Amino acid sequence: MSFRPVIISLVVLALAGLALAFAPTGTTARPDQGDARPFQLRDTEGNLVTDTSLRGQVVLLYFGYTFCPDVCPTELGYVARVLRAMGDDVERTTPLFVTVDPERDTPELLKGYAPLFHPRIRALTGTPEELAAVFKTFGVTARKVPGAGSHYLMDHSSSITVLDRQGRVAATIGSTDTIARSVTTLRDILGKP
Amino acid sequence: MIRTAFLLALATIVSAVEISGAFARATAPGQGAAGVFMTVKNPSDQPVEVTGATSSRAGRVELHRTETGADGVKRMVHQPSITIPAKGQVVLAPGGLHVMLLDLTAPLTEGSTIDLDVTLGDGTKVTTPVIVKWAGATDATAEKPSCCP
Ligand SMILES: [Cu+2]
Repeated sequence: MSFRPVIISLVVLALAGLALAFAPTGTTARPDQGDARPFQLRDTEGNLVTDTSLRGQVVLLYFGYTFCPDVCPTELGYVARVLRAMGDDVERTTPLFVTVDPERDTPELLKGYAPLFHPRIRALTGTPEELAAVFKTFGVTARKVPGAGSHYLMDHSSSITVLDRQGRVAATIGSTDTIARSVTTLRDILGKP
Repeated sequence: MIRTAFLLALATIVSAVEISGAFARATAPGQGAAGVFMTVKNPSDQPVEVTGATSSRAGRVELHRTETGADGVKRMVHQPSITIPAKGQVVLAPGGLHVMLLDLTAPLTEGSTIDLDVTLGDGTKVTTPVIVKWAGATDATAEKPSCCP
């Protein structure tokens, strides 16, 4: 009677272990993968933004840094063009830019940066611990690389993770996809409970 | 006579490469870097090296290439020079090569034009205007989506 829940727990644990062992390591997440993924970050005003505070919205998660003049503006420009193509559905979509470089990306800088692309894009940062946890949760690589002089660059993953309205990873999109394809993907996800 | 010869020589040097479609993307206050993209054409029958660039708007300028690792991780790699083949061209475009402006003296504002001197292997410089486009522009002619500020 009392050992059954224990066995079930063990089975669940074993399955979770297996899932972890076979979880994709790079940036590509599998569609409809698992449960909501808890995270905690801060907006440029210092307010907490968490997975639960975003429930009901389809979330586009992009990890980058402002000292990134090539890849990041291309992806954020792509996000802006996708949002434009979504029409009224944009109201149920929250695009987030999460910095991988909190050292240089101050809240003030982020506040000016994200709206250059689209007024709905919210820039998020966090404590080093909060950010490290989010990178781990979403399989994001962010490595500091020394550059010339006092500069450094960041090697970083550059795909856009889409969370459904329950906070589950539902798709991965990026600027190599057509706008129409990503709009279809997002509308499909919006249509699901 | 000597003067004419000098001017002719100068004209030859100036036309060593032709730069077109140079653009950068608007930056936010405090943003440290910007990329410049362009097409560099070499009409001569000798390869030409682009070895660097300077701008009054940047404390430092480097040549970079964006590379993608097998794991999808993006990195910018410093290039000592870029070879423009004889009778050929190299397109510096997002996702590939760019001129990296560092230590910007002021934000780049959309619609403005900034200066850039591209340095060639023989030490000569080619001056080009650089148009500042929308922050998310991927080419020099791209229109800003109507959604955006
Ligand atoms: Cu660069």
